[in-house]
Amino acid sequence: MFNARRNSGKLSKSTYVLISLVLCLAILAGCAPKATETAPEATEAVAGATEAPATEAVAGCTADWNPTYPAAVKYDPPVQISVPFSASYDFSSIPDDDILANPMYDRIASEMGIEYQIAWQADGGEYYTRLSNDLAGGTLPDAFRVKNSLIGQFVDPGAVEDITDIWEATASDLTKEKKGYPDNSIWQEVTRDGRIYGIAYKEDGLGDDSLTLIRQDWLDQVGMEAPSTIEEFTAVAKAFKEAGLSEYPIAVNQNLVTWDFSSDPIFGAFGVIPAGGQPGYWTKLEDGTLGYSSIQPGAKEALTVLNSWYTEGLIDPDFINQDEGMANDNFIAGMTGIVFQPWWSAHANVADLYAAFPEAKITVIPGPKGPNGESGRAGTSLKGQAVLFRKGVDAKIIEAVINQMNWQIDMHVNWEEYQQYGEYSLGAGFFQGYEWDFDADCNIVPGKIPGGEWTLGKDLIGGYRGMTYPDYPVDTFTSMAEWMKADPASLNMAQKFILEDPNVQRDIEYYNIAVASRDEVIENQFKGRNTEAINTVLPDLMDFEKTAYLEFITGARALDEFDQFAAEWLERGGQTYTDEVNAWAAAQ
Amino acid sequence: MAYDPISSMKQQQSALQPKSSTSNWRTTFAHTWKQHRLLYLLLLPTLIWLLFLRLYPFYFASLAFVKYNPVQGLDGSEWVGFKNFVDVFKRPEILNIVRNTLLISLGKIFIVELAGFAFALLIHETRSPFYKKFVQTVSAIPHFFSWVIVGTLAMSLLTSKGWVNLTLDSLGMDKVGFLSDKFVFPFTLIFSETWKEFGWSAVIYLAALTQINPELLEAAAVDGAGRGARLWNIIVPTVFPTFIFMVVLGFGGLLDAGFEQVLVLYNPALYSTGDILDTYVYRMGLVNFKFEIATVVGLVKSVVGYIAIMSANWASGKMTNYRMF
Repeated sequence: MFNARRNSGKLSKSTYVLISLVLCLAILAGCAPKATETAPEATEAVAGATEAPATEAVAGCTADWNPTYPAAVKYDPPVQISVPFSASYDFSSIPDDDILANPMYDRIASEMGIEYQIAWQADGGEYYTRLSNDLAGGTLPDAFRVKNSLIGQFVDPGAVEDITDIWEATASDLTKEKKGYPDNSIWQEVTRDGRIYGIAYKEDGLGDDSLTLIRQDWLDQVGMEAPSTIEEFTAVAKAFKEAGLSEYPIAVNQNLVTWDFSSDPIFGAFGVIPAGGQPGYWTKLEDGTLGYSSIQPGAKEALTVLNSWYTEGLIDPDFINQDEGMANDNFIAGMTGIVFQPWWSAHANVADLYAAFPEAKITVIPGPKGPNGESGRAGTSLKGQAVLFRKGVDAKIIEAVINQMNWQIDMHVNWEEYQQYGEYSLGAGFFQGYEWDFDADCNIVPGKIPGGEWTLGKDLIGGYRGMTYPDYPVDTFTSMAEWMKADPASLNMAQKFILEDPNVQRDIEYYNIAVASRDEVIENQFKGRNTEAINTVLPDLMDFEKTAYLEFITGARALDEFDQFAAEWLERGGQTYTDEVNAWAAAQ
Repeated sequence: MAYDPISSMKQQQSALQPKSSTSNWRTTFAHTWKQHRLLYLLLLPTLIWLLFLRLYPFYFASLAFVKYNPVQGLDGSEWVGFKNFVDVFKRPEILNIVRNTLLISLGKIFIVELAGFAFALLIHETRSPFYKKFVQTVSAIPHFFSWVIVGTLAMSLLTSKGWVNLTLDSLGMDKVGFLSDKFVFPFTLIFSETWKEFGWSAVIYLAALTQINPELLEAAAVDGAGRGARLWNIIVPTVFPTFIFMVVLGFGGLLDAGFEQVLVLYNPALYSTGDILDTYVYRMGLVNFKFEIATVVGLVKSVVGYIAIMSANWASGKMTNYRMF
């Protein structure tokens, strides 16, 4: 405590004034709106990176590979676009930690005169917190990407531009065709009365499709064939356990139906897709109406199977404390032998597993078959994300982004013609010194940033983010499957280099399996937009369902109470949901 | 007398009061101002803080009464009265969540403070000064860890393959679902919080213990009081008001049952007993951009917190004749 009398003479007047001023300034500085982070200029070239790959290579090395670019619209003076960036870059090989100093940004600046600037950097939940702050404060970046469920939050209050006229005039026929404009369901959320308020995109229409992966080396050890029915899966898992290969052979995690280590093929075998990150699926009932699959009798059968696996110790007793990341750790540690994962596991955790256990061998098999002899999986939601433009943005910026999209989609679709092999890793460049380089003998070797090409161009709003469409990877992986069959003499050095990578070989294999097994995907019969009444009851209903499902699986709630659960679900708002969905169905 | 932050503050305040009592308020103020203007200058930052960071945000609490349109701002949004409140409180889960929040929070307030109190008594009775300092420092360290770290530690200790359950298993006892059984989970929350905070909460009790008049203890010893009698009849009663003081303070955050902790440790199977207001608002409100819902719950929390702290203060006055204000 200050005591002025006792302390008089100890603190000088100027000290009082100084302390007071400093504190006032500190508080006011805290109140002041945060200054926009200044973005470095994008135009400076990176030392060592060349714009035209391959041919201007190390003296003496000649290549049979001649990449070219599609014709481009070039803006002069350049168009500058401020966009939010991901924070998860690997800066280790980038000069001065400058994200913009990478060849993807240089390429778009020099070819088209489009300069990206960093509004701010964030990922995941923090990304949307920043956007919501910007929305409330009126400081949105020029263009930004938004996930499907939040598009309405920007469109409905009028925070973003109607881009219909510019889109119609600027988007090429190829762009419109590939993006399925205007009929594909990815456009649903940005469309209001026939006008569009953003560019819909979908990175990969098979990106969440769960494939069934099994440890072939373990199958060989126990001398069994690949399982097909649910009963056979149970038998194989028991054999793995009894042989001491795995304590808990089947991987399941707390989020049940999710983007990685999902259990949707187990439910799908019974024709049911329950809620996970998304609401569960709707199915056609015998009386012709739509019913929520999670409360149908098939769901009880699937839960019975999962409960028996839990009690017999075939799934980890701690699975309700494990998310996708922890399930992944278990898999890489060689603790699980039957997992359900998307195709991209080929270059992700399957590669990690092979690195840790050279003897491991994973095979992709059809999903488990249920009582009617069919496999089923949730597939990938075809609700699109979107690139939105803040209200009042310069029309030139919208036009520039669409032009960039035309350019990149042309390059992606006709990548063999342009020999733009960066497209094999989904919209990246393929730059000397980055993804590849020459060695002393003029052979192509991996470049400085292994794997770094993936993130380098991801925040180009008109690039990877915006240009993608549901069948985006099909255009690369189907033609790469042809390369693998072709006579190696007919391939150029870049193609051979790419095919040498075992991760790429597996990507091609797994992706094509995902394409070939598309008929396993269960169709959600409700394809409409959620009404306000649905949005009011949905969050509680999804929580209620997830809790009940986990309790049924662990036995905390007896399966005899399933009908009671179904009745409670209807009572808690499920009836409203059902009525709204059937009203939509009747209107079709 | 026990260490009493409030009355010592009051004594110092009264020392600052001018002596004259006959002059009117204007001259009193002028006099005080002249005498203490430098102190008023030091008050300025606090006033600014109060104005900008405490009073100004009240304007935005009106978000709870509108259908918020971020583009038109608060003034342009449609006024809906108590509709948002009705929407929140007619949700089927809400009563359950309020109950969980209150139980977990009350459990934490009492058990953390009791543990800190008991721990301070034990430390106080320890003879070796080095050992005393060592134990005190080590036990206070977890307070400075974030819940992400402590939560990960708890996960590795308390799952069915964790060290605790393996020990129980080897002793032939049943495993306990600390992080999976919905009836056990609230206790896991309370006791993990206690483990993290008891060392820190002991600090204030140790300060209170140093205020005990040694003459009193010596006199009691002369009169034949043993260690136990001195503890029970002198030490505990003098420190008890501090305990009440801390509990009353704790009531201000009655509806804050520990967002980070629950978020790190819970899972959907534990919603029925582990979901608290903050995690619910996080899932329902912020993740889905429902600013109104978050504001409604925040406002209700403030009102309930205010009522709780006033009642606790009143009860404390009745019980121990000791009020904070």
